[in-house]
Amino acid sequence: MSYKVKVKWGKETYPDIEINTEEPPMLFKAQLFALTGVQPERQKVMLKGVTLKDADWDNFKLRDGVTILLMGSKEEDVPKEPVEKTMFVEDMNETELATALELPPGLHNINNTCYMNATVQCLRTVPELRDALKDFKGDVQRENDSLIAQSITAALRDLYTNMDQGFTIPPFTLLQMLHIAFPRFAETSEHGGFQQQDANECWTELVRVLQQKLPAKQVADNAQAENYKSLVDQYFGGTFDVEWKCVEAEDEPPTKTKEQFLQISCFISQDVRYMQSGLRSKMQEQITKMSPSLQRDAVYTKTSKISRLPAYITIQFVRFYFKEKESINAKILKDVKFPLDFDAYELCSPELQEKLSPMRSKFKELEDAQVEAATKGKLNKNKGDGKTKEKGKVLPYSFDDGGNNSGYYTLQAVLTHKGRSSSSGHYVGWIRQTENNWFKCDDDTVSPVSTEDILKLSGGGDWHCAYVLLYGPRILELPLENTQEQ
Amino acid sequence: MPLQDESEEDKELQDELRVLVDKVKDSDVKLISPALEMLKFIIRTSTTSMTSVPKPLKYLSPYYGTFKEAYENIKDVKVKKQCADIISVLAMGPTGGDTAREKRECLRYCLLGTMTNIGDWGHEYIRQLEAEIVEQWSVCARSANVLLPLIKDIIEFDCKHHAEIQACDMLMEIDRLELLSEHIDNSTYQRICLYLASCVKFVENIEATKILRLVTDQYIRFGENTKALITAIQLNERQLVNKIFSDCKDPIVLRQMAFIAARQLFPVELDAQVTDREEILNILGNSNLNSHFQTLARELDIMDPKSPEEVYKSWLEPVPLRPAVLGENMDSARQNLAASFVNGFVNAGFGCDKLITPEGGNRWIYRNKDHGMLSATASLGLLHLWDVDGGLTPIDKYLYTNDEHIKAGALLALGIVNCRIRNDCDPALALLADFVTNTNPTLQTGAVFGLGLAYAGTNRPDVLCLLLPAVENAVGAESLAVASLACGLVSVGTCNADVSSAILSKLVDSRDSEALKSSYMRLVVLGLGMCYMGCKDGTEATNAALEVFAEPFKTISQCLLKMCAYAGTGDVLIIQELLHNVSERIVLPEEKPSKLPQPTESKTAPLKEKDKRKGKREWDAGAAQAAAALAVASVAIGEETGTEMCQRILGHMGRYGDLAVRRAMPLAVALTSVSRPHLPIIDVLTKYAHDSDEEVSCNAIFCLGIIGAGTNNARLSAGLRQLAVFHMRNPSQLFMVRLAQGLTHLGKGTLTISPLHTDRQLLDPCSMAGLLIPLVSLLDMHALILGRSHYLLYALAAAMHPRWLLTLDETLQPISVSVRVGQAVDTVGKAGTPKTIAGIHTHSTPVLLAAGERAELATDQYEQLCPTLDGICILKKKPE
Repeated sequence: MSYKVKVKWGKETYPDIEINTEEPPMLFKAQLFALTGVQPERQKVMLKGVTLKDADWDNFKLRDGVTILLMGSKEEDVPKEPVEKTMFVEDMNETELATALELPPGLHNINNTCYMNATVQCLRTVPELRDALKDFKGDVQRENDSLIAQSITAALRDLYTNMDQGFTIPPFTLLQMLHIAFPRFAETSEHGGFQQQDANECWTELVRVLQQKLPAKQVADNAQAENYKSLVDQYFGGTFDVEWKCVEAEDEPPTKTKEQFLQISCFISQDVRYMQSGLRSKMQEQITKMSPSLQRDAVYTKTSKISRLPAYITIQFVRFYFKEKESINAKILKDVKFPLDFDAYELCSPELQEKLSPMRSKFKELEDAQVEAATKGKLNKNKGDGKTKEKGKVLPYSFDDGGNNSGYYTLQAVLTHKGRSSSSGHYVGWIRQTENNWFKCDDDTVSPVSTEDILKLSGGGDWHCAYVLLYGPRILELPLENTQEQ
Repeated sequence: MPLQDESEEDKELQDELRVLVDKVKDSDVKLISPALEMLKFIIRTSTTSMTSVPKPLKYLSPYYGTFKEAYENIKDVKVKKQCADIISVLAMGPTGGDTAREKRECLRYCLLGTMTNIGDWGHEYIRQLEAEIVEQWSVCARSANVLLPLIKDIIEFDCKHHAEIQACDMLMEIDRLELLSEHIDNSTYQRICLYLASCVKFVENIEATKILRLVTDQYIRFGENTKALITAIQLNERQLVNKIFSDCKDPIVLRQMAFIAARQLFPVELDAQVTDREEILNILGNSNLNSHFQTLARELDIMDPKSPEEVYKSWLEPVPLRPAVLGENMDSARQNLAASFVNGFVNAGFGCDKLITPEGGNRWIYRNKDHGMLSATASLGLLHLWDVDGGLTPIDKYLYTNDEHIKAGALLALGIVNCRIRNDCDPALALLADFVTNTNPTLQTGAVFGLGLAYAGTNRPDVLCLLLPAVENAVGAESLAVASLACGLVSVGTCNADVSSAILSKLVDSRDSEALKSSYMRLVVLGLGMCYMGCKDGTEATNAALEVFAEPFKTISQCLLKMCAYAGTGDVLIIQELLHNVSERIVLPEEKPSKLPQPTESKTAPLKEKDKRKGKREWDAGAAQAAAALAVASVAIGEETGTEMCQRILGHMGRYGDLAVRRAMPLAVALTSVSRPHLPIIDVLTKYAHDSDEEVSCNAIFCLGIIGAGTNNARLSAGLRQLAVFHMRNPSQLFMVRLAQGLTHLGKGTLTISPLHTDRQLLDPCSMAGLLIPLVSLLDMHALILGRSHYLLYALAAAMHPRWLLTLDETLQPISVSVRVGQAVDTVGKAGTPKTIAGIHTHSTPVLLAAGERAELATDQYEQLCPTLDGICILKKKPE
């Protein structure tokens, strides 16, 4: 039998197609292939709810003028599984997730050791320190108390090595060594566990240990660098130029001294609302001491100016004061705002300020250029995607001796305290990953937080309050585009 | 009576009346009749303000007793009747006092009177008579013969004097509506029919049918074929609909009727010899739905695809922490699944998108996980919704893959494409039939559910032949549920005995097994219920069959059955029954064999103990209450007042109800306001979206999507963005927020999922079924929607329809005319020709209509063939 039918394929219609039922259906399919280009084996020919079989026409109720539907695509492509399989957040366990999200590993709390965990996490943000620790050769000497400094350094090195591998571990060795070196940290509370300790004490003690053990980094072949015995002096140490002026004896010439510091303190008085004012208030103070010219105690004005800025500046908020009555370290909860970008210029001595200015002007230039580009380039707005920007040329942030060369700093770690006294409550480290991404390292749980969350740590309530801040150098990055475009 | 207030005139009248009354009392027989005539004259001619009693009646009231005595004494039959007339009139109002009213003396003496020209006494008298007739009728049905002549007179009077509605009221009270038809004429039928049709929601089933029949007959009598069709569809009587079609000779009206029937997916059997049969069948089969929809989209200039990101407006959300650090090859499966759904919802029917159809779209599918791949692939079906010609080929290639989930998704997609479309070639059947018996459960699920969606509402025996074995041979609860839902969809509202017995026997088989506790079992019952969608009392046998189950399954299943059977009827009695169920917690039989329902307050404690005791699969203690709460809403939709009352009651449930009820409450609220984002409803749901209970908040969020479906509502979108931020760290809630955002922008704001259409007169059972499936699934979201059965959300495809007014000329080509669009105003029973819409904007068609809006032509050049301007309407050019 022969029929004339209409074939519909997608939006196209082919009228008057001849079907001869004497011939096998494959022939008809070949005919359709010629018309549509759909391979016969991928053709689905349908009529009244049945598909055409390859063998015979039996199930097909044909008549003249009937419409037949053809389904099939020309393309050969069968959807293929991509080679690289997609990983799903939901499938991952905690460690995998942490690696994927580049979460830094946490540290288990061994009985109130959050003060140490937070300190360790914050210090870990200093790349120079980590490099130096890697090169440190000593071992942990459990038996030999005289080598305790070396043991602590080695323990910290081992701890960092483990953390670099992404393990969340309990810092047993470090704690043990710390307890040996500083027995006050091993105090136990009435409940049997260790007592909570002041994190800043731990911080300073640790840094001091490192000061003894880590040699200064050799910077090219520069003579000055060798002046520094230790890496800590090189990168954390600063110098104050102090001038003593006797208020009561005009004639007495001011005496000048130098003071080294590893940390500057921000005192919190009634009218301190910003970190800068807290710092400034201690730069000039009245002190009574023995006057050589008057041969008696007299009031002196002590004026400190920084003559060397360290690459990493540690700022401690003096939040705790000893309350004699209750004999505890009570806490000042006051809200003291701290900036994400800190400029130490006004704290510096005039000589240093002069030295800083060339670098500062470079920063200024770049900022101006950026502002200009922003006003001009509003048309081709890149959706703020930082990744696509090419890495520019990075200028050194320090003088040859490792001191900051611009006075500009940027916040890189915050150690906070939550609670009412230094020997109670909870310490947490907050470290910066990228521009706007921060991690909250609360012992073994590390979670991403935003910059806003960091700024909320300024105190004023029972929320975590910033206690120690670690500012790193602000890096000047000259964009490559400048040179390419013009 | 303070005499000093009265004027001269009044005194005169009083004196005159006294004289007349004296004459009536008098023994002089000859004087009685003229005196009565005179009284009659005075009463009739007395005109006073509307609000006060006419003076003559007032002054005559002390003599009421006198008249009655006089009546007894009068011997002359004729005069006696005259006197009775007067007494009857006096019995009305304050004159007769309470005793007269109690004894229905007005009616009594009216019947004793002349019974001629009763209308002469005025409307007030007639009202009184009507009231007393109704009372009398209910007391003593035997008085019918006596009353009937009077009733006829009253109806005649009413119909001639603009009181048709009172006539209707009386006849409905005494259930003799058939008397009305002979008095309806050309000038009154519209008012009468409109009033009667609007009463249907408030009367019981048998009477409703009677009323609708009468209305249909009248419309047919006066040549209103389209209106007759609408009421016939409300009646759900196929014979009648077929008759209306075959009686209609006007080819254009026939086409318009076909469009109305197609919107309802009503199966119409056309006579073989109808001219242009092919074309009308095409309309009935919705063949051009896609091309019309594309016309609308081009007209509105919204053809460009939208990505999920554009829907979320994620740049307005604060920088999300996680995705920022997520790499190219690492994703959140849940978020990607949400994106797949959103992509489908937003671009539904447009045929293009930014995720799957472009080059390399396969990659997107593989960025989903397991069943997520199924849903991702199935979203292709939504993209090509209704496009049988062009939509099958792009899906074809996914049938050749080796991954079972993708293949199953492609099968489901093929089904979705054919949803609501009847195509002569039956591609869905041809392509899916082979997979129904497939041994792979995933493929089978895709094919079975796809077939269900493709043939929803057809009741096609050949499709059911394939699906019923799938029910009978189903192994797991999931495949049974899907098969049952598919059968329910296909046979929706038909009471198909094969379907119901197949599902019932499967249910009874697993009566004592643990499987009954599976959440899927509720869907099995829902499938059974959908078969009876809108069938009201037709479910008695099935309801009785469900008695064999132990509590709580018995109540759960009976509630689900009622939810479907009475969907959209507004039946107050059923709502009360269901509310009773909501308030009562079922005591599980193991604990208390007495099964006595107790007041809710005293129950909480014992049940909690019980929860601890049982380790295995646990009955959800409040499941029956939850199902009942949802059922309340399902019954209440479609009737404004009832819906509002239900929304209030649901509010109470949300505040004071048990946890299970609180979880169901957002779903119920949403069901009463589908695609209708009223501010109070948004507020309520937004409040629950912040609830501390995860399921309450998830449901509330999803329901925000349901009430805003296809509206692009700006306020809702802003609210959802806030919720996205609020629930940033809760993956389940965030998933729901995304779905809700997608639903709000359904079809870029051109689609609705409301089952009500044709000016909210008709309820499309398919849409209703499509809505109920996801809502019932959400009663246990962790097992279903948040588990692996999220593909059930595609049931919404059955409910999707453009919310448009598309005008066609007589050759069925789209034309643009100007129309006024505004909020619909209820004009039932209003005097004169009141405005039907308020807050008017003028647009030119095609235009989108929001729920509760109505349109009217703003031009005199055309006349409309459809009584309501929504959906597809044919306009006829008026002769110059």
